Amino acid sequence: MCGIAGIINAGLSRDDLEARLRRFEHDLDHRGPDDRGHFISKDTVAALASTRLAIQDLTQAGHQPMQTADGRYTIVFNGEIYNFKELRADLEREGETFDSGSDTEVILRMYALYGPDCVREFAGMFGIAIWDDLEKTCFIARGALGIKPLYYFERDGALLFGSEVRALLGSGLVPRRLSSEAVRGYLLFGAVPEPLTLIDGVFALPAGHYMIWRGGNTRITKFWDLQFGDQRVEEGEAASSVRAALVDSIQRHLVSDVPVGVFLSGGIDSTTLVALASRGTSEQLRTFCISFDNPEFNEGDIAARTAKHFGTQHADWRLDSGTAKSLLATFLEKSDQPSIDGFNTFCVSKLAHDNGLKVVLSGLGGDELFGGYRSFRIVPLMVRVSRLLEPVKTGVGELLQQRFTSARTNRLGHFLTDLPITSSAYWAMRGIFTPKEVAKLLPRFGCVAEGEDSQLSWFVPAQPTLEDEVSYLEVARYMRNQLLRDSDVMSMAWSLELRVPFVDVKLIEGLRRIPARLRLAQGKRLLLSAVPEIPEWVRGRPKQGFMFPFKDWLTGEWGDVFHRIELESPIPIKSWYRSWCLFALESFVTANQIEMAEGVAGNV
Amino acid sequence: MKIHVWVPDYTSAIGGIQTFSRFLVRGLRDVFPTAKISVFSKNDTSYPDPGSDPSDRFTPLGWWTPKLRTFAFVDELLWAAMRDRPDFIIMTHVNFAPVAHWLRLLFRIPYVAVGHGVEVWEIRNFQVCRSLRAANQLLAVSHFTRQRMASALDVEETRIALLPNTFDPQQFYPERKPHFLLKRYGLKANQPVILTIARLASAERYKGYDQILRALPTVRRQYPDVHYVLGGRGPDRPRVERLIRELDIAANVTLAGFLPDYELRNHYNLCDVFAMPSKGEGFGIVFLEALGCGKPVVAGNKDGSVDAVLNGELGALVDPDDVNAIAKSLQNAIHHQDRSENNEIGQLLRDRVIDVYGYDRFRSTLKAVLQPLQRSTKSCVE
Repeated sequence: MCGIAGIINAGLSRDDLEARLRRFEHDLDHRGPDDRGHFISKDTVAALASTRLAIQDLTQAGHQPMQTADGRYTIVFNGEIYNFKELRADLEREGETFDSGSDTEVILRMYALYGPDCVREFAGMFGIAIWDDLEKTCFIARGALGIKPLYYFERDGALLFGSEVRALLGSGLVPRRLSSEAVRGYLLFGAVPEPLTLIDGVFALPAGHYMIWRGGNTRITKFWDLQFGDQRVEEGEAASSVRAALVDSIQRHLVSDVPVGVFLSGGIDSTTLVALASRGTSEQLRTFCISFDNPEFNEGDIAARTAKHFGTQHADWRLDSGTAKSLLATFLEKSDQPSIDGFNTFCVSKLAHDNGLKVVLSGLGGDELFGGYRSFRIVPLMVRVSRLLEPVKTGVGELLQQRFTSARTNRLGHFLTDLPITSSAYWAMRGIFTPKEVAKLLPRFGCVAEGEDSQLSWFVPAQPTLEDEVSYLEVARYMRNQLLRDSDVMSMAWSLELRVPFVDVKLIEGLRRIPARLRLAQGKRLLLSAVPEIPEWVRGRPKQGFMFPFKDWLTGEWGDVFHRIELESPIPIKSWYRSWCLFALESFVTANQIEMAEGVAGNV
Repeated sequence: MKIHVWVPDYTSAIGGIQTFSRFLVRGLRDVFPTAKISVFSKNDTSYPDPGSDPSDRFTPLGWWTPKLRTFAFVDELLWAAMRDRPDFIIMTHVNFAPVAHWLRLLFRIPYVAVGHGVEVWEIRNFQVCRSLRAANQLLAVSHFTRQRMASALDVEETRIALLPNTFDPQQFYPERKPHFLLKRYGLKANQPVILTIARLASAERYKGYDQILRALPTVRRQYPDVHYVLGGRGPDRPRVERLIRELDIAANVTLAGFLPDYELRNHYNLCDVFAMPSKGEGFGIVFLEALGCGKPVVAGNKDGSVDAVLNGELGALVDPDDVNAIAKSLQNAIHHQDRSENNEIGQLLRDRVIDVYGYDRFRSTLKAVLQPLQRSTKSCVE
């Protein structure tokens, strides 16, 4: 787990490169405080920097950038390759020998032997950059599920990349200009839709893709995507294969040279991790939970009971309104790109960090794969009903978009005027503002109101059922653009590596053949039958999610801020998350001194 | 300038018409950089990935129930054309032609129709025939399809222009046998591999995978470790599995299942020969892709594949009903396969297929075939 960055072919002198690499190291220091290093090629075409959080091979042998003995390949790497020991054993059978016990060296050797497609063999999360000094090519890759971020910027044959958008801005080589299209996407969906970032010209390398820079040109290649199947599988067989895949994934995610903890809530997913991980490790498992005074949101008691049941060493932090408010400012400061979420991960990561941990497991991804969200029921229903309503739906839709109805009803209204397909229904449910509202908000950020929607958000590769399409959207949009991005930035803000055993390529490849009827059965039935150890008090609970009582906190000085936002808004705000959405964007623009899209500098 | 493109499938289905449609839109974008290109797809239920799609507007209508879909599609095409008044309409399935014909009568919008394969070999619908004959431009993807289409419509072959299928040489290029696939299928790097990619459905049996399975025992006598990788899924799979058991070749065959687009290049590069001795192919884009990866190909001599392999210049043509001939030509291809790092034969195949069927050639042909149409947009004929 680390921060990486690089500058290729920018035509800078060695001293200049050196200074900018040090700047990268400074900006990414929170991601890896254990070690730092950089590399500049002899011809000064390539410059790579790394900050390291040492987890596999804590010695200097795992230092980055790492180079092959012949000096041809140099790598910087952020993430974990959980199957690196198997891959290493394969290579040793072929006669390779190793100098370190790190996964970084395995990646480097595999790239040297098998080329770019070696990434298809990695089970894990990663952002990788490898410079080939013989061919003069730079290879950058991002893991299949996009758990770790990797951003890039291209201009005049130069390529810049880094683990965080702010690090790229810090290089001084990227204009601080807002992207109209990204702001539009952010306001519609509540998170900037990949591959866009809020900065014009800076893009996220899409998950499951690699890019090769050669002589000033780049080319992006896809190596993985999510495709569900519908083979005939019996329920019992499905449950046992899910269990096997889960046990396997959790085992792999426990591979570490430092202790591993678990974020525990009152939900099924984190309980699954504790149930299966407590058997997979010889040491006593450590669990962490945030609890509240407000009983509507509090899961602390249930988590404590689960922890006791499985005999873990449990830490609970009762977060009161005063502490939460005092942390909000730090939270905003640590954000890489704004989002309406992330504070929960920020707090629980602080708890784990304060307890001396470097690695934790999180149950993120369970809802997306096992049908835990309401969207799995509602979106297909919306699609089916609106298809039946075809002759009258546009009229009804216009009516529902009037001022007097709620934000949610407005979005439903917009959906009825749109095509009755999964992605439209999904965004009507998950979205924040309607396109009409966004058009009115954009001028405030100097953005043009015209232009097509960012179509990627509406793209769904063909899947066997509507429910599978929802699962695709949950994994490839909401989870990737919001949950994983926030998780990465907010855990790294506390130098903590967050591991997500549900978001695992091998696990998903084992699951995806199971038909949606079983895999996405209501109440995560398949997961529950695969893990009978989950105690009764967790099974029977209605879904709550890892929610924070935000509404209660936005009073006092924060209340003033939000009151101002409501007053200044050209449209009715109607709910707190819409205020937060605008506020987070404003804060990002101000804190990073971003120029408005049309060149209106300064405060919003 | 405005262009309307009517397609049966664009993003979801996999097949010749879909691949062609996507290249067509890319070509139109390059030939008419400032045009507003609107694509209407009858069977898609989702938008395309904007990263790889250059159209300006995309309308999927596949969400309609099949019974109402044709009606809804026609309705959408008519309204959109009335609203936009495009400079011309181009369709990648001939069955849409009557709609374009009405539009030309009403609004003088010229139209172009493209013929691929089986759908134009016999056209029974009188309306379709009449509106195709009246089209401003007819295109066919191969000589073979052109010939069949001309006789089905009872027009001169010269009335139909050729716009052969194409492939992207930047997407399909030679490389070493991919390690991850050798590992996945348990193969060794020096083991001869035969590859076919086809949907496993009774309607697709014409692709000839049965014949290859039947030829395999013969090939195995000369190459005991020969391995056949058959990529694709479908309802015919249980029958194929039975056939494999009957022929006792289970150890030499892998049914690879569905091959996603991002693994195609790797599969071509895994094989030593790509074989599809079909008898009902309109063209066979897969041959171009395999050749782009520098692989020898074996094709049937009774359909549009003859075009794809340039009458045998780029690959072996065999009688698709003659199992012995298929076995012989597979053995021959394996025998002559150059396994050296700098595979000269492979490079020659690649250079030649790029020269004839590469995207650059497709774009310039497209420009040329649409040239007369641009004149007619000014003085519309009817």
